[in-house]
Order: sequence, then structure tokens, then C-alpha cells
Amino acid sequence: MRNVDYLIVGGSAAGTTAAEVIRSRNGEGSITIVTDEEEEYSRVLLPFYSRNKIKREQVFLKTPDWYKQKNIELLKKTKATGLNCADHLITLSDGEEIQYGKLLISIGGRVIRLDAAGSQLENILYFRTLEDTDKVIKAASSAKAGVIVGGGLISLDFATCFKANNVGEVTILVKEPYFWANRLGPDSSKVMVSVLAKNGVKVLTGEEVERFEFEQGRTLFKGPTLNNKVATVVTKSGKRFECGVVGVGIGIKVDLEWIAKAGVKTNRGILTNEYLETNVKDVYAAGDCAEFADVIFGRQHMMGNWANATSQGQAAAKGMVGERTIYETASSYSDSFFEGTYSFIGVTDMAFADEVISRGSVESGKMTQIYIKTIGRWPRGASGPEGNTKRIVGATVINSAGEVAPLTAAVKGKVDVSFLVDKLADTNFDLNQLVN
Amino acid sequence: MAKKWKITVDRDLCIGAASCVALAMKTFALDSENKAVVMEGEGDPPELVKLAAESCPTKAIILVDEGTGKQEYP
Repeated sequence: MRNVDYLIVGGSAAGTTAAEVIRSRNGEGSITIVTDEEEEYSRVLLPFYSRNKIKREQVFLKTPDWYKQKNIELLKKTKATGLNCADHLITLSDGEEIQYGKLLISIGGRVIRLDAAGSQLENILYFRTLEDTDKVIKAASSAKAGVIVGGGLISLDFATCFKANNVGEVTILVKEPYFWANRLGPDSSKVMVSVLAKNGVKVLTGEEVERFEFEQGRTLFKGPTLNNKVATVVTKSGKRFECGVVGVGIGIKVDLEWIAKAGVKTNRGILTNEYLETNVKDVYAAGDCAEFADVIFGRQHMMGNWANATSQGQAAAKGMVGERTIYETASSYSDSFFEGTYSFIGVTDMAFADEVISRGSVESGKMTQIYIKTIGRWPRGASGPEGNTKRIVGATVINSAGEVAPLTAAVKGKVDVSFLVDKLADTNFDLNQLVN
Repeated sequence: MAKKWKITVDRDLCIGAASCVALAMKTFALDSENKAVVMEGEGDPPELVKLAAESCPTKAIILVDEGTGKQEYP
């Protein structure tokens, strides 16, 4: 049986950053990364690749040489399937067992598959891995019409990709009453939908897939696909959409079963404290799969974005080499779709915030929503008078890129905005005043 | 002697993912277009700046060794 000082399960942003940070502090210890894919590539670049903005080889961040130079072993196309915490053992999909000194779990998430009749037909696709992206480009480049299921960031990536690959008619089906209703206010949603409409993408709300057909009236329920391609989407309301490609983006979940079985505490993700340590000694978690104790917001928090993954990889790695580090970052996620941009900052959850301030208008094509929470006493670690403070805990920013930096700084700096709340809605009020 | 970087951000590539800001906050900040800029001043240790550059999901940060003039990343 092999014995590794630092074992990292998951080879994307968090895992690779962690390996590099461990190596920079410990030149001797053995480091192994287990990944179910190939070399690390940038998930953030996949949409750009799908839009023909960059070439396929440009998505790779590390070369095979890099792993060699850093003396980091990479086990590709391999998954961890079992964990025995008492004996410090990981079981791999090929049956091998590896004993670890310290273990980092950074497995990210896995797409939730759509459960509808015929959903295993060809050209019903997801958008998470490089392999997915290859398939999406191939299917889109020969499709006259495309249907997208789900209204979230993946639907925007699909829509932009489909149009860039000359798919004529593109329709997004969302079951909610409006587009991206679980993350955006109605007006922010309207701004996005109008950018989509300008670019020939239709959004239909209150629509759920009933079945997929490969030819008139015929669907597949179980078993082999017999190379049958999707031809029609039929919704529960009875609408029919002819199409050559279907993009599904209905969320991700973390593959927790083997981890929970080993006695590591989990909820939606792997539960950690502010040091990214799990309840089990020598086992850490970072990135999309970690549900960490967030010291900025004082609660358990999951963040699925690149900046969070890399900086958690760094913090966990420091802990693994004996420099215990509190993870404290208010991260943001920004992306573009057609000519539009959007960002999510901090916690944008109505159940957590007390009020939401809208800044901008549908007419101007710009909308920012600022989430405010009244914190009963001065936040931990800060000096100041006792009493109620109002803090910006998060924001959604559509088409106002310049507001991202000051809002992120205000969240991170736990700025008291009690006396400014009335001004935040005024677009003439410069948000940089929050932090200067 | 510690290495010094000449740091450039390719603004066409930068998408404001902000991983550089999260890792090397004395070196990088986001500007009014939500793109990374290099700040004046002492900055962060060279290896942290390297980590920040390598963490960029669009490879928008270019590092040139000030001593040798050689591009070291990407």
C-alpha cells in the first residue's frame, strides 16, 4: 500500500492551488492529487471556448511538466470511493488504497441530471466539464434550434454558446414565475431577459419538461439510446419545441455519500470550521464542496466560485502544513453573457438579509440589489461602540461592473451603513464613498 | 535577492473573477470596470503574486522577471 503525506482528492482550482501552496512550504513531503478528469483546466474558460473565443488548448492551466517540476503526483481519471478515517485510508475507483498523513477533499460538485422520459437521448447535454463542453459545441454547431432547461448562470452560458454557434432559434424554459427567480429580484431578472431578447433568446416561464421525443410521439424511458437524437421537447403544459440540442442547467450537488459514511459531518456540503477542518482529525475540505464556517457572516456557507476555491485551497493547505489559517474572504462571482455582465457578491439570500435595496432601473438596463442585515451588536473582531449596525451582506449587480469592487469591499470590511441606507438607492450616490 | 515581477493584466482577458485580489490583496484590486489592476506600493511577496497569477482562471496576469526580463507566467 502506498503512503502519501498530503493526499488531495479533486484536482481543480482548490486542489491544485492547495498542492502548490503545500509544495512552496514543504519541499520534501509527498503530494498526490486524485482527479476524475485530466490536468487542471479552467472551468471559467469553458464558456469562452464554447463561444469560439479561445482554442481548446487554452483552457488548460497546468502542463504535465508543471506537476513533474513540483514533484506532485497526479492520478487521472480516478475517483475516491471510500474513506476510513481511523486508519487514514482512501479507497480509489480502481481498488487501490492510499494511506494519507493529511487529506484534503476538494471534489467540487456534480450536475443534477434531469429526470424526465427520454432524458438519456443524445444531444441532451450538461455544461460542467471540458468533455461536456466538447459535446455541446459539436451538437450546437449542427442544430437549427436549441432548448435550454433551467434559468440560472448555466442557461446564460448555453444561450451565448448556442448563438455563437449559429443555432437559429433558442428558447429557455424555466419552471419559476420569472427568470433566475431563486437568485434575482424581478427587476434584475427583467434586465437580463431584455439582453437575452435583444440577442434572439426567448425565455418562457412556468414551463417544465414532461418528456423528450426522438421522433413524433416516441420517447425512450430506460435502456440504451440506440443513437437516437433528441428532436422535440414536450412541456407539462403541452407545448412542443422542435430542436437539435438541449442544454440542461438545473444545479449541482456534492457527492457526499462516501464521505458521510466515514463519519465526516455533512449537510449540503462537507461541514468545516473557519480553518476548513472537518470534524475528523487530518481531514480538510475546500472549494465548492465545503460548507464552511464563514466568519464574515457568522454562519455555515457554501460558495461555488473560482476565487473562493483558490483562496480556500490556499488556506486549507496552510493548515495542513501546520500554519493554521482562518479563511476569511467575501468572494464574488462575475461573468458575462452576450453584451451583459453580472456579479454575485457575498450572501444574496432573502432568508438571511433583512432588507433589499434596488439601485438602477429596468429602463436603464442596469440593476443592482443590495442586501442589508441588521447585526445586533458590533461584529466580532471589530472595535467600536455597542449597538445595532446595518451591514451590506451581499449584492447582485447586473450591467454595472463598476459597483462590484466597492460593494465587495463594503461586505468584507463589515462597513456600518446605518446612516447611508437611504442613499444607496440613488444612482448618483457614488458607492466608493462606502469604503473610502 | 528576492525576485521582482513586472506585472501586467491583460484587460481583454480579465473577467473580474477576483481570485488574484483574494490571494494578493496588496497587489491587485478591481477597478471601475470590474477588471484587475496592479496597485502601487510594496505589494505582496513574489511567491504570493505568482500564486495569484497562476490562480487566474483566464490567464490574464503576465509576470516578467524584472532581473532577467524573461516572461515567467503564463
